[in-house]
Amino acid sequence: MTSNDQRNAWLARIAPILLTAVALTQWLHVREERLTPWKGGGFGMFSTVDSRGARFVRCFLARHQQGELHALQIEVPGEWGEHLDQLAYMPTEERASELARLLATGDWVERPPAAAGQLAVDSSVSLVPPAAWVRGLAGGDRYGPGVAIDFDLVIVQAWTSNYDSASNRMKARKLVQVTAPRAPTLVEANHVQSGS
Amino acid sequence: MSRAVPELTLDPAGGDPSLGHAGGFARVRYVLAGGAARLQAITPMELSITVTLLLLLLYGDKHWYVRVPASALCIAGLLYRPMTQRLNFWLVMSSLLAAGTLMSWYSADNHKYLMAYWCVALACAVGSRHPAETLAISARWLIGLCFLFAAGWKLWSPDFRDGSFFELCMLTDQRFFGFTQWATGISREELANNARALGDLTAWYARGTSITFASRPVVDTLAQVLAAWTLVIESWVAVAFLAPRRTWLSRWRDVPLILFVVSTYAVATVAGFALVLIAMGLSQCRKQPVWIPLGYLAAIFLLQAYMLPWSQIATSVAQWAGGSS
Repeated sequence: MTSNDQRNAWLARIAPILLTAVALTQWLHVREERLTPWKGGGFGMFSTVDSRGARFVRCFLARHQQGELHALQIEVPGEWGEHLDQLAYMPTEERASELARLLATGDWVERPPAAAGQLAVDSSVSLVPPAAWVRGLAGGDRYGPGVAIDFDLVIVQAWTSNYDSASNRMKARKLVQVTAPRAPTLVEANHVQSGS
Repeated sequence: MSRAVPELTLDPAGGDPSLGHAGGFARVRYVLAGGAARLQAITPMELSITVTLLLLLLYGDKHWYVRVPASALCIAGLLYRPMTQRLNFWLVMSSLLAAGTLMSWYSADNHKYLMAYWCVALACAVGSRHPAETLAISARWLIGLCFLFAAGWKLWSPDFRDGSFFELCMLTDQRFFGFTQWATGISREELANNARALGDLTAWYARGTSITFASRPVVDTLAQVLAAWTLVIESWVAVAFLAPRRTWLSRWRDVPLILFVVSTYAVATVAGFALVLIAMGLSQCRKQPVWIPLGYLAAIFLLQAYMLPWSQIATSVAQWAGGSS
C-alpha cells in the first residue's frame, strides 16, 4: 500500500472513529448520569420507553406548620428552563440540588386571596396568573406584584415512567429527590452586598 | 465531474402514428431510459452531495446562528457546484454543525450528530487523493456502525425486546397514529386521549403516578412483530455494510438499507435521519444495476409522500364524493 493509499485510508476512518468515540461517551453518560438513551449521540433512540417525553420534574415550595409539611406545587420559570431541561435529560442529585438552590432564591408570590377566580387584567391583555410565580423575572412580572409566599424549603423531584404492557399502565418512578432551604432572594443578596 | 449525457435519438414511435397505445408505452420507456442514462452520467459522489445540501437546507440545525450560515453555504453550493469540491467548504460546514450540536449535546437528536459526522467525512474525502473512494469507505463504515449500535441498544433494552416500547409508541406517539388507526381500529379520539393522559402524567402540576391507556389485544401482537422486524432489518444492514466487500451480503447491502428507509419512515417520520442515510447510501452504491441508485432516489420521493396529510386528504375526498353524488 502506498503512502497515498494509507493517507486515504486514514482519512476515510476519521468520521467513523468520531462516531464510535461519541457513542461510547454517550453510553458512559447513560450509565453514570442517567442520560436518556435517546440523546447524546449514541443511537439509543427508538429503543426504550425512557425518553425525554417519559421524564418529568416536580417542584414544591414547602413550609413546616404545626408539625406538618405543607407543599405548594410550582412551575419552574421559563428563565430557568435550561436547568429544568438538563435535570430532565440527566436526573442526577447534583443537578436537582442546583435547581432546588436556584428556586430557593426566588421571590415567590401568589395571587392575592381577593383576586382568586378573577382575571388579572393588564392594559392590553387578560392574563390568568398561575398559582405562584417569581417576582423580578420578566415572565412573572406580567402577572402583577402578588402576595409573598412564606416557605421554608424547596423540594425538587425527578421522575421517569415505565410502561407495563400487561396492564396498559404507565407508572411513574422517582429517580431523585432533593431539598434546599430558603435562601436570600437575589434582590436581598444585592442589597446586602451593596450595604444598603 | 459529470460525464456528457449520451443523446438518445431514437423516435419512440418510429414515426408511425398508427402505433397508438404501443407508441405511448414506448414513449414512457424512452423517457425512463433517458432518465436512467442521465443518472448513469452523474457520479455517486455528486448525487450524494446534492442530497446532502438539500438535507442541510431543509432539516438543518434549529439555532439561527448555525442555520443561517449553513443555509447560505448550501445555497451557494447548489448554485456553484465547484465550491462543494473544496476542503474549506466542508470544514466550515462540519464546524457549524458540530458547534450547533455541542451547544445542546444532551438534547440534540442523534441524526444531527450523524449529519456532522457526514460533513466531516465529506471534508476528509475532498481533501484526499481519491475523493469518491474515500467517501464511499467512510459511508459504509458510518452506516454499518450506526446500525450496529442501534441494534445493540435495542437488544440490550428490556422494554424493546418484549414489545412494550412499540406498544407505547402506537398508543401515544402521534407519528404512529395513522398506522395504529389503520392496523388496530383504535379511534383517533382514543389515541388523542392516550396522548393527553400521558401529557397530564408528566405535566408540572400533576400529582398522580400512573395512568391507563385505551388499547386492543392486537396492539401487543403488532408491537412484537414491529420489534422483531426492526431488529432483523437493522442487524441485516449492520452486517451487510460491515461485511468484507467480496461477500454476497456486502454486494447487495443497499437492499436492506433502502428497505429500512421505506418501511421505517412510513411510520416514524424522521425525515432528516432518512435523508442522511440516503445521502450516505448514494455515495457508496453501485451504479449497476440501475435500480439501486434509482431505489435511493425513489425513497426520497416516498418520504415526501409519507409526510402528506393522508387522513385529511381521504376525508376531503370522501366529503367531495358524498357531495357530488
